[in-house]
Amino acid sequence: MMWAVMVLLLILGTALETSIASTWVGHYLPIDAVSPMVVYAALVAGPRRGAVTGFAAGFFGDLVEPHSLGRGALTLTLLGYAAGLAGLKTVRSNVATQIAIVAAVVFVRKAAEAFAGGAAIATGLPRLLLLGLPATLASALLAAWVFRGVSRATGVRIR
Amino acid sequence: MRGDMPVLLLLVTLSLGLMASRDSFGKDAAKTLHGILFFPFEAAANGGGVWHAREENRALRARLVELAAENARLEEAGLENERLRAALEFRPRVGRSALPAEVVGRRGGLAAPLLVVDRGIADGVRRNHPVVTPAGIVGRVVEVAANHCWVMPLIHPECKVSALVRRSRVTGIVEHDRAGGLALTRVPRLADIGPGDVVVSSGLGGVYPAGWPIGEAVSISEEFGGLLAQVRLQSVVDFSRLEEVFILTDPALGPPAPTLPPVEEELGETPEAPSP
Repeated sequence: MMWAVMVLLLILGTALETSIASTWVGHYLPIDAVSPMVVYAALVAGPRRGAVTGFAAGFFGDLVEPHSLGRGALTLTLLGYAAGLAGLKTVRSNVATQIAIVAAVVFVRKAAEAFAGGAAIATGLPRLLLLGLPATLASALLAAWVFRGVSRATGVRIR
Repeated sequence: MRGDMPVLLLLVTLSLGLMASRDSFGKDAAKTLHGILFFPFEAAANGGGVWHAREENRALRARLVELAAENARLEEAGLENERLRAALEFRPRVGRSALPAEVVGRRGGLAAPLLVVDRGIADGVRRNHPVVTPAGIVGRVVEVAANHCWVMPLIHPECKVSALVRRSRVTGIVEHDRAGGLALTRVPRLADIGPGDVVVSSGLGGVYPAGWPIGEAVSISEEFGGLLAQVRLQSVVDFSRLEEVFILTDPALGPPAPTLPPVEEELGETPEAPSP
């Protein structure tokens, strides 16, 4: 059941990020829909499954995105693991904690992508971070709402 | 937690290995799978795009019609502008008594045409005031109302103008011919006149001022059994396309002064002003 939910979430997240989110709101607010799913898996099942989920999500993203293989996988593996660790150290059932963890993961992922893709050099890091803040907050708030909906639908709760 | 580390290291190593390798690892196949799996989402996204494009297309079509209408209006305004510019250049040459007017209607058909002009008694227009364009004589005012008047053009069967050939000063009467054009009649058969000669008003009769162009000789034919000649004229005014005319409210007006070429100053010959 747990793995079925993970696969479902990853498919949903990748689909959102690569289609609707990038087409409709991506130009103005590039919402990160994959990272919250990885964080959800990490908070539900711990660091190891968070890392595995992150690797799977990152690898699949690498396959469909134009950049080199392994880059997204490495980032999301580390972030999934870190999110799992953060969940163990905090009260992860708290919504504010979930939002904070998702925000941190999204922000780090965007920064890592910016550095790897060269955007940080071209745009300038301070401006890039400033531009990334709205997307980070939006993704985190959306994630909190999605977490609650997924928990109710599947019965897999963050405890 | 300790059991998690080998898994993490394995995944990190695997990721780094993927980054180091130049193999695409079946990216095309993955993209195909991605397309199949996420087709509904892509369709939803593209469907939104198509909907937007349809709306945009509809708006652009409406805009195209508006622009076509505006373009036609601007073209018309441009042509009117050219005509009015010509009129503005013309009016100072004939003085203030040349009253600009607009042809607002036509009566009488082709057989006996009359022009309706938007100037009347209120503007100082009276019967027999000549009507001209910068090209030449149009006709004369035959009826006047408060705010408009009727003009009898030269091609009207009842209109006759005393005229002469500008070059040879041969006189005659300009009237309409049976073909609907103009002709200079009552001309001596052996008079000095030929194709290309310009016929102008003579000033006799007291209606039309002297020297205004009427037409250009095209051909000569015999009249009254060979005693007189009739000269067919090409009118200088296109009566079928008249829109703006001038009513000469001062009958003593002469023809428009010719436009003089600008005086060229010769460099080096300008006398210097005496020093104080």
